[in-house]
Order: sequence, then C-alpha cells, then structure tokens
Amino acid sequence: MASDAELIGWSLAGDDDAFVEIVQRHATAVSAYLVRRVGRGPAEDLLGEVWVAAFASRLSYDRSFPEARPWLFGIALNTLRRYWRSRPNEDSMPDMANVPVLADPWPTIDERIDGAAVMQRALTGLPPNQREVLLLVVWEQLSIADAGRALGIAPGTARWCLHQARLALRNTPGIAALANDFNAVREA
Amino acid sequence: MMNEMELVGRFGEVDPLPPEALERAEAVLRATMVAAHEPELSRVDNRPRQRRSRRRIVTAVAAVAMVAAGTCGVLLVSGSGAPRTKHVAASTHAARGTSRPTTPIVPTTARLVAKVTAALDDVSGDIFHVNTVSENGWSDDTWLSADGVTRTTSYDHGVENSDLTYTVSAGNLSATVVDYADSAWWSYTEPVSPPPSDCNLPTCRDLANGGVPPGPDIDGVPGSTAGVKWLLTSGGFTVVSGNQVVDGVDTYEITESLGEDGATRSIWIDAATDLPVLLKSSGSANPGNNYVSEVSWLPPTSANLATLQVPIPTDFTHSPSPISPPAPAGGGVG
Repeated sequence: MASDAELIGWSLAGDDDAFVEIVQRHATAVSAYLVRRVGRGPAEDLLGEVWVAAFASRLSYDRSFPEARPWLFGIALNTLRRYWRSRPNEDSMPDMANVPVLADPWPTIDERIDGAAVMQRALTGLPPNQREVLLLVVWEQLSIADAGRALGIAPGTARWCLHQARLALRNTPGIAALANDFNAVREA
Repeated sequence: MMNEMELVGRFGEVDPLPPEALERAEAVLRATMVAAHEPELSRVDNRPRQRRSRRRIVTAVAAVAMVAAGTCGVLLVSGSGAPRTKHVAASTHAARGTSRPTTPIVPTTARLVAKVTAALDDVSGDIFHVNTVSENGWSDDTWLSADGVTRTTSYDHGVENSDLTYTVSAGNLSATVVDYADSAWWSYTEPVSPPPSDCNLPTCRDLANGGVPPGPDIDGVPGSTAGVKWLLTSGGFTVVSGNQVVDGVDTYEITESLGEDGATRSIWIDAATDLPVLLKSSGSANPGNNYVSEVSWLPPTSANLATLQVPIPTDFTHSPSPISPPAPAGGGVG
C-alpha cells in the first residue's frame, strides 16, 4: 500500500484520486477530532473545509514523513481556530460543551453533569499548547512527536507540554475526586 | 489507579459521523479539485472517444514450445467464447454499463502503473488468458494457470491449426500437441533449450534461472501475469487519456513508442479494476509485429482449469513423434 507521502507526491503530479485516497484513510479520525472539539453539527460543516485546506497546502507537505495524519490534525486545528475566531466573544474558548460523558461510571445524572463540568473547567484552564498536546495524545492517539508535528513544535517541547498538562490536571480541584469516583465504580 | 490521562480519555469517546457526512465532505473536496483542473478536464473531454473493435485478432505461439520444440505454426480464427473479464469485475462492469467515469481525472503514469501492479498481484493465482490477433493472419488463444500449465490454441487465418498444452518441470517440457492440419496428435518430453543470452523477457529470465516459465512472451505479447507486469514496469509508457470505452468498459489508455518507424504499443486499463483489458501494437513495417491482444483473468475453478486440457478428437491419429511443420512457401529460411 502506498504511503500518504507517496499519494501526496502523485497528487502533486496531477492525480487527484491519490489525494482522495488520503482523505478516505483519515476521514474517520479527523472527523472524530472535530466532533470532540466542536460537536457534531459544526464538525460536519468543517470537515469539507479541512480537506480543501489540506489539498490547497499539500505542496508544503514534508514528504519525508510517510504518515499524513499529524499534518491533517494540524490543518484541522487551524480550521477550528478560524471557526472559533468567527464565533461571538463569549464562545471564543474552544467549545467543550460537547465533551461526552461515559454512560456507566457515575450512578446518577447529576454526578455525570458535575464530572463533565469539572473536566471541562480543567481542560479549558490549561495553556493552549499544553491542552492541545494532551488531547492529541489522549483522544487522537498520536505519539508525542506526532502531536508536536501537528502543532508545529519540537518533540521535546511537546513532551514538556504534556508533562506540564498532567501536573496541572493533577492539581486541578475536583480532578482527584473525579478519578476516585471512577476507581470506585471500576472496583464496585 | 486511574491517572489523569486515563481520566481525560474517558471524556473523549464520541460516536463517529455517519458515512453520508464523510461523503458530503469528500464531495466538497472533489468539487474544489474539478474547479482547479478545469482547463485540464476540458482538454481531456475534447479528445475523440475511441471505441475498440471487439474483433479478436492475433496470437502468438507458445514461446517455450517454440524455444524447446520448434513446432507450432500459428493461425487465426476469430475466437469467440472465452470469458474476457476478470471474475470479480464482471458485476462491476455490468453495474457501470458504458457510462464514463464519474470523475474523469487522468492519473499520472506512475500512479496508474502502481495501481495496476497491485491489481495484478491480486490475480496472480488466477488463470491468465490472452487472445491475440496479428496482422499477418496468425492468432492464438492462450491460457496459463498459476501452477504453470499452459494451453495455446493457434489459428491460421481463422482456421484452427494446432492445440498445444504443456508444463515445464525440472528443466523438461512435457507437451501434448493436436495437429489439425494432419489430423494427428502426439506427446513429447524434452529439455528446455536455454534462452538467448540477450533476452530479458520474464520467460527467458525464468528459464535461465532453471525455473518454470510463466508463459510465452513473443514479439512483445505478454504471455502471463508476470509478463504483463514486466511490460508495464519496464516500458516507457505515458498516460494518453482517460474516458475511453473498450467493449463497454471505462478505461485509461497508456502508450509507448517502440522506436521503429513510429511503431507504438498501447494498453487500455479498466478504470474499475485497474487490470489491463486490451493491448495493441501498431505501426510496424512487419505485420507480424502489429497485433491486438485481449487479456483477462479467470478464477481457477474446476471448469476453468479444464480449459487447459487439450481435447483430442477421436478420429485423429496418434503419432509416435512430432510431425515437422511444412517448409514455408517459396523456399523459406534455409
């Protein structure tokens, strides 16, 4: 199977189907990323924008990287930033209202809502780069180096960001209690 | 104990977008591509659509048989019946009908060759079938199984001339020949002659290495899946056009110059299966070098494998040794 880098090379030579193949490979991952960050409705609207932006900027792709997913996440993040900037001021922070909550860890609806609110506060309180590295690694399953590549920062910097994000989360009020709740449910 | 990373992970589970949403986004991208390529598409669309004749022409004789035994004339007949589309592709072809590709974008040669090579790998276990008709009046129908059993039926200006089946094992060729001109048949086994030292065809390379030849490659007509792949990857092909319909199949055409008097070789590739469907060599001063070959791959079912066996007419005479072909009219060679 051709690598993403090879497909981009063919795309640059005029084979647009090659680029569509990249899109099909990564559509599920990139769309899930958008859904996590802005919810399903906006994600559906933004996904096409991500593909168009990626196609337009494929000339800048560094083809020494065979895997294009981090690059696509970087483009998706830029698309999200444009989307967030276009929103009213009160919504200017990344929209975490659509962060889902697992169905089973908490015994009551009220506690589920509290848990989501605690997590939302904790994540939105992180510096942007730390939050992005954390979410790309945890939610999108990127390696730390690939998360750095998506964000345009060095792997060492990404590692430091992740470390700092973990420390900050650990010290955020409510997170420890939330973890204890999860553990209690898991052990029950 | 759950750490903060696992905890964050618990909040990241979402239902994926439905396939329709992904398709809509892909359609946005395709629309952008079409707009970006507007001048190129116009150029492609203006090309005259070529429709290839369904007429079956040419063929070669089994190369190995010629190398080893020197038998077999060849002849021609408008062969008909053999299934000509790849088994898994048949329904796709039927569904697609004769419509042109929905996205008439011409791929690069490198991209197309890579796709065809991958498709050929997928059918390497199938029976390769090639029906070739040349301008000199000879034609053959050749089938080759994955385990090296070959059958070639040859025709001279439409009249069945001979039917040959052979295998090569441990450097020996075992063949059965039915000679329609003499109403006779015979079998023989003999060592396979070494290939010419300057021959770089797959058959020759395999023979030189002591292996089983993949099939006849004569005068540029590929006699096997490996031969088709070799032709594609070693040739100087460039994509001519998409949007061509060959026997109701949407195809891409690639072509190369053969470097003699404007002679060219073209291959039409099924846009749906990425498998070649038609080869054509033309423009040579030697009519024997101008041919049209239809290629297909058949699943190795018992019925299809049975076509590799030569039926011997009951009234034909068994000859204890091969009957030499008559000397060519007008003195011939030597």
